[in-house]
Amino acid sequence: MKVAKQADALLISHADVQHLGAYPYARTHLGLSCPVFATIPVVNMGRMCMYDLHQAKVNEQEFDVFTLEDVDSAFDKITPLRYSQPTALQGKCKGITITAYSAAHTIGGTVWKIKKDTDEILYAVDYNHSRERHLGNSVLNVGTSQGLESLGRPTLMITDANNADVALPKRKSRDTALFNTLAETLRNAGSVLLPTDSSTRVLELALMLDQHWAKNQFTYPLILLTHTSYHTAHFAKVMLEWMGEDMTRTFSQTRENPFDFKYLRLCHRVEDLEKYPGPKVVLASNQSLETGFGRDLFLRWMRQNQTETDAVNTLILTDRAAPGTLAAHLYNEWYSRNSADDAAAAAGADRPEVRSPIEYETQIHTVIHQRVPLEGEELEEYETRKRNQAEREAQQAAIMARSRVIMEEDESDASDADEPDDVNLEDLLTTQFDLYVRDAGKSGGFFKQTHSYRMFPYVERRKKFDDYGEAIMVDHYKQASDIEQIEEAMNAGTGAKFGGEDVDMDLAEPILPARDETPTKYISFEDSITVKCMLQYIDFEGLTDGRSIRNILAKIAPRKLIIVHGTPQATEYLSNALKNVAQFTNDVYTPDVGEVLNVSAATNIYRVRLTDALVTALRFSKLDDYDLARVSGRIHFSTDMTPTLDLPSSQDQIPFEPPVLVGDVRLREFRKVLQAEGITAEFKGELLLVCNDHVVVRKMGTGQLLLEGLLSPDYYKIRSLLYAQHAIV
Amino acid sequence: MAGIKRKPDHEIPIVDENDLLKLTCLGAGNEVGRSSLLLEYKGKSILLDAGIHPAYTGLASLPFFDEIDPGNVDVLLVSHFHLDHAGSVPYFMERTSFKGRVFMTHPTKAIYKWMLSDYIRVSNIGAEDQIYNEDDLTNSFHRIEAVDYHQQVEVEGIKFTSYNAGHVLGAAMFLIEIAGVKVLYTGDYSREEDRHLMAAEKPEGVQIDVLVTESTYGVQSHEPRLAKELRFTSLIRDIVTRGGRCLMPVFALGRAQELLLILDEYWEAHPELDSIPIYYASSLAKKCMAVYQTYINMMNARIRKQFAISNPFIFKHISNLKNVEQFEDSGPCVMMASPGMLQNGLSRELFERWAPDKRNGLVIAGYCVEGTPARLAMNNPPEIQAMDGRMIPLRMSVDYISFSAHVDFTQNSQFIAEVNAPHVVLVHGEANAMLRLKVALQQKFADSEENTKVYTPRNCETLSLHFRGEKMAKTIGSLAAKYPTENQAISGILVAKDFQLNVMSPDDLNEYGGGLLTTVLTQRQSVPFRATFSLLQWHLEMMFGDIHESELNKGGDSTEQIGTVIRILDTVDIKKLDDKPNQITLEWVGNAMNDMVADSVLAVILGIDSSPASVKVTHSPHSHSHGHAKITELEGEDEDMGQTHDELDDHHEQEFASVTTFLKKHFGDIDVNEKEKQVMIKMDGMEASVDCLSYSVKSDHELLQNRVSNVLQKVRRTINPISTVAG
Repeated sequence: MKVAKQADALLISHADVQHLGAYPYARTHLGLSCPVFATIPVVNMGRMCMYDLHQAKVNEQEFDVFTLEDVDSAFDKITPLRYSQPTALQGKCKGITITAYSAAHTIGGTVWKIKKDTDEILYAVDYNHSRERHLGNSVLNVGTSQGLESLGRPTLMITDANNADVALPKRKSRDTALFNTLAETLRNAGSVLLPTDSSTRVLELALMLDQHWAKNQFTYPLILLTHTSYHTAHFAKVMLEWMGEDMTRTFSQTRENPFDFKYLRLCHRVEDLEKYPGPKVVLASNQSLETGFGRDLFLRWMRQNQTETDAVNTLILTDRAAPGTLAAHLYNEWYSRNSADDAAAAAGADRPEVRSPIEYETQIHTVIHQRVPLEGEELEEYETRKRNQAEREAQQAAIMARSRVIMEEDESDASDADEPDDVNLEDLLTTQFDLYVRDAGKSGGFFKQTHSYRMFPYVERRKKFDDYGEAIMVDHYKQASDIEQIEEAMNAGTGAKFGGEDVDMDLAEPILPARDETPTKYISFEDSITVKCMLQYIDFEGLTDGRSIRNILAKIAPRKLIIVHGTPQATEYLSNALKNVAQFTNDVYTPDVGEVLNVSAATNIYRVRLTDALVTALRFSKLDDYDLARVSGRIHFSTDMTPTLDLPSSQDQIPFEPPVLVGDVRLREFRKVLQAEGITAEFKGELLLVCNDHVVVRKMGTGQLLLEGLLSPDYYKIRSLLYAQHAIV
Repeated sequence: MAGIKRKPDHEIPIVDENDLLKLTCLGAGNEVGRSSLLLEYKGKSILLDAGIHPAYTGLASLPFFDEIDPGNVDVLLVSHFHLDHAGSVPYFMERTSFKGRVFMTHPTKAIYKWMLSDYIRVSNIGAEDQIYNEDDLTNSFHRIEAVDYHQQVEVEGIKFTSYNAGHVLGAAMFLIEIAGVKVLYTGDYSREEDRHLMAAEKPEGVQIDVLVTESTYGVQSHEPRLAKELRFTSLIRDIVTRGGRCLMPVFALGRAQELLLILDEYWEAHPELDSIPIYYASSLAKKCMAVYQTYINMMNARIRKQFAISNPFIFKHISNLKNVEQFEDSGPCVMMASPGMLQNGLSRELFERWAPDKRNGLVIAGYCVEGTPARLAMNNPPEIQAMDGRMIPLRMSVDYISFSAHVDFTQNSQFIAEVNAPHVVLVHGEANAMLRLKVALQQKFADSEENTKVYTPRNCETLSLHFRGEKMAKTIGSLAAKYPTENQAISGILVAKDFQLNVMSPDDLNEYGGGLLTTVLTQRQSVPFRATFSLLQWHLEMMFGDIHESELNKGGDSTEQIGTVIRILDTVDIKKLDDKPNQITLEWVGNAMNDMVADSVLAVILGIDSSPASVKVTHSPHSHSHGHAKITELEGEDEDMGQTHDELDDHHEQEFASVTTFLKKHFGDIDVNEKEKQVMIKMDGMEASVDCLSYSVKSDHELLQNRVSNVLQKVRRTINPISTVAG
């Protein structure tokens, strides 16, 4: 907690609760005031994530840890960045440059490089080595010059051990398993609940299911139920440049935004589900099942005898969730039940298969928080109070509305947005009517007016507009002279596309469905519920697996490594595994929470100017992309106090320095060189090359070569070839 | 001032060709269209834009690519999607030897494809004359890498960053850095924020050495945006309310979207106009609207804020016209049609159709290249020539309101002053406009006593600027432990990569070399040696003076080695192992210096056998007793040697015995000639004679000779083995 005030900069890597959940709180209550950096999607999606969390909490209990205003002000203060955009920090951190690189896992997910002079710190927590539907793979796993070259061999790397001991089934088999379970349940008239987060991983699931639905022409409803579902999709549409190449390629070829879901319906309220009777698949937040629609539906659907039918519903976990949560509990149950069966099989297999769902039936004792409508006296009392207040507001609103210039389109939209839908207060209706009257005669107001009806569209939206907006417009203009037509359309109102969707948002009023003003109170009670459902865990966390972690770490080869974010077992496992990696640093730290590590690596550095005479006198030897030369000279200070290195004066005795061989020869490549020269060379073991039967080249470790052989012409020939593979300075 | 020479004579003599930064206009030098600029420095070569000239067709419209070797170009950067900047990209990528990488921003790439496939379709030239086809376009598309604004990309020492340039969606300025020299290429840019685009930004915190800027508008000035918009909307209103049709020829993409936003907003605010349709007749623009609806994050804050409410690129009052047949030409309307300069196509067709009616109006909103019909119409001629050659009276009103998002003189000169680069290169402007701008700029710089040079290179003319490129290096690691003092000697290794120089001590190479590894090459050479060790020692002492002798005893090791080691000059170790009496091993760390010492040691060793000194030494009493001790050791195996001098023979004898044993085992009956150390092998009537000291075979029968020599090689290896076991 002290840290919040002391921090000089905050870098946020992912737009999910685990990575930024405490940010608004820290900003408001802990005195966090430093500059904050995150990529554009992290800012956008992080905001969605916090809105959803807040809304979920508010629907259950008194919630004042943070308010929506806190969220807004906190996220407005973030400096948005793009990938590979080196950003120099100011003030106290002057001299430090931070750069974001793609981490995959979530949209805008970031691996941070923090650089000062020659010291580089690489912060890579939660990344994905492999490509997914909507994201490319992390820069850590890209072999291109762009990727590792700038990230390789950092002074310090901080990474996670979360998945270090996990081997994942192939993506394809995971996909198939998911589709199979869905099909099975739906066929048996059950519904499927997929708890998910509200802003990041949900995109992958939504996209995957939407495509699957489109491919198979399913008629079962597919629903995304979060408080911010519409806006999550809305923002996803305009952040294609942050997604994988597949996305941008399909987009530029078909010009269809993949996040214009064809089958997935976006819902904001549990009640919306009633429109879709029968078996359905619902993606609901939050993945922990501790709060939000996810929990709501869990409690409704997964109970014994919960429905009129006998159908057993299925709960598919796609995420292991934080320990201590209901979801984590269920995961553990599932895991322990399942692991008994195939523990043996899993141990041997490199790529385990996805385990099948289990029938799960148990008693869960839990506290249920609810917000219930007021009844009886409470309600009356509330209404009287409310009515008085509302009358005052209505008067003001009416005055404001009249004085509004029509030009101020945005603002009047905002005023609409302020109004809650389906309010039962006549006063507010008057306000609405007031605006209605104002706009009624104006055909131009037609589109705007429809916004007031916050009906969620459930018609096939895609058919409703072309690239210029609503398809209806063409008719509209053809018939625009016909006022009757317009009025008719106005009355039909709800048919216009988008309706409430677009209106919901304004900077003053957060991007959320209007607050439900039904008078309510919070109750909470303990209950013991009997859970009966099919339970399955299929990994869609989008994180790298154990093997790739080791490969990537070996490739990056940090000088020091700190492992965080993992169970003690996984952390232990990883640090042991790394000991077996050849030439890996021994400086691997596994700190506990609160532990302070000193990992400073003070590098000395100063800049020096080289004179032309010196540079021209240098003899460079080339090695790959490097030019190397031995340089010796004397320092002089020029007028601007920059040290200048000049040629030594002729009297100077240049001390002899033994030449150094630079380069790391691969025996395999050297063999080719030898063969090109007509020398037979064969391997006897990994690191042993026998040439013409009497000269041996042996690798004794990094930077240690042994050339051994009988005195013979071949010996000298091979030696000179070996020298030629290095730069000698 | 006007007469500034491009290459003043008083310039410092150029030592290194590499220090010259060369700029060659392959297009857009003293013209507008086919932008293409080649930048070369320090062996790196970058092509900026590859456009086509709108006024020409076929190969003539290309930039002068044959002036350069495309195979040498490392990187092609494309500033925006307009044809005069990106039109010849597929040609350059697919039909030349170019192998480098190509970069453009995400929206540019997305629109590029549609733009050019449209171009391929419309350019009504024969297939054999076509400069590239749809396949070339598709192939090139997949090779293009998309970048984001502010993203720093490094390609083999070329660092570049794209900055927002305004102009059109995705337009970029490129800041290129090679070996510390920074060049800013503006492309087409606009310094005025409009409805959807940001104003071009100036790269912060960098000193730019060369500024390559457009000069489309020369010394003209734009009218203020608000006034201009007002004039525009009221003009359109006038035309439609007088019952006329308003024709706006526009580029399909770019400015058109801005005009759509303005019109949509105006219509929204003026319901009385609602009955008048606005058409936008461009299938290309329709295709690309999705791109505009997607890359909101590359536009300005205003749009992003609006986007939070609804996507502003979903227009409410604009209808798309799929084809002309669909268009009912009845009554007033506003028609936006491409192409933008009335060269051909729909805009031209409608222009010819509507020109004779004086109620109608032509509103030219963009820049028009000299010689195009739109430019001609701006002069209000009484009649114009139709595409079929007829003369048509021009009665419709013609107005020119420049919405083209290029900088005007005020903005351009202000930007140039802000950037404050010592060299300013003008491109993308007609010769007159460019010259006027040059003069105006020189005037301005003369006033402010800035030493800025302005260049206006013609096409294919190479402009060479000399940059000595001050060489700054970083001293790191143990060398930099203390800040240097005057006249301090520094010695280390200079590591240069991608023009970054670091000086470090050899010991720090592994640490700070950025992936470099130093290697220690240990050399071990086995030499047959049959004299006594003491003799060797004596010779070495004579030659090298101080030698250091120690017992080698690697006890505990599985490969137990017991013997003696002599260290010479602290460089070469000579090992004699007790279990290998006929061989000594030289071991040293390989480098030029040590190799030399080793060679001289070897020369001494090899010379021992024949050296008269050996004879002398071994005859001395002292040596004799020593030698004798050795002999007694050997006597067990061979007894007929009395003289130390013959010890060598003794060894030969031994070796000979071994060889003959092997051969006997192998070939059965053999004739041994003890004296000549030769063996005769007879098999199946074939004969071979073997010299057992040189391991050579002579035989008339090739088959036998090969077989025997194979055996001999194996024998030789067995007798003088090299170690192939680990350790």
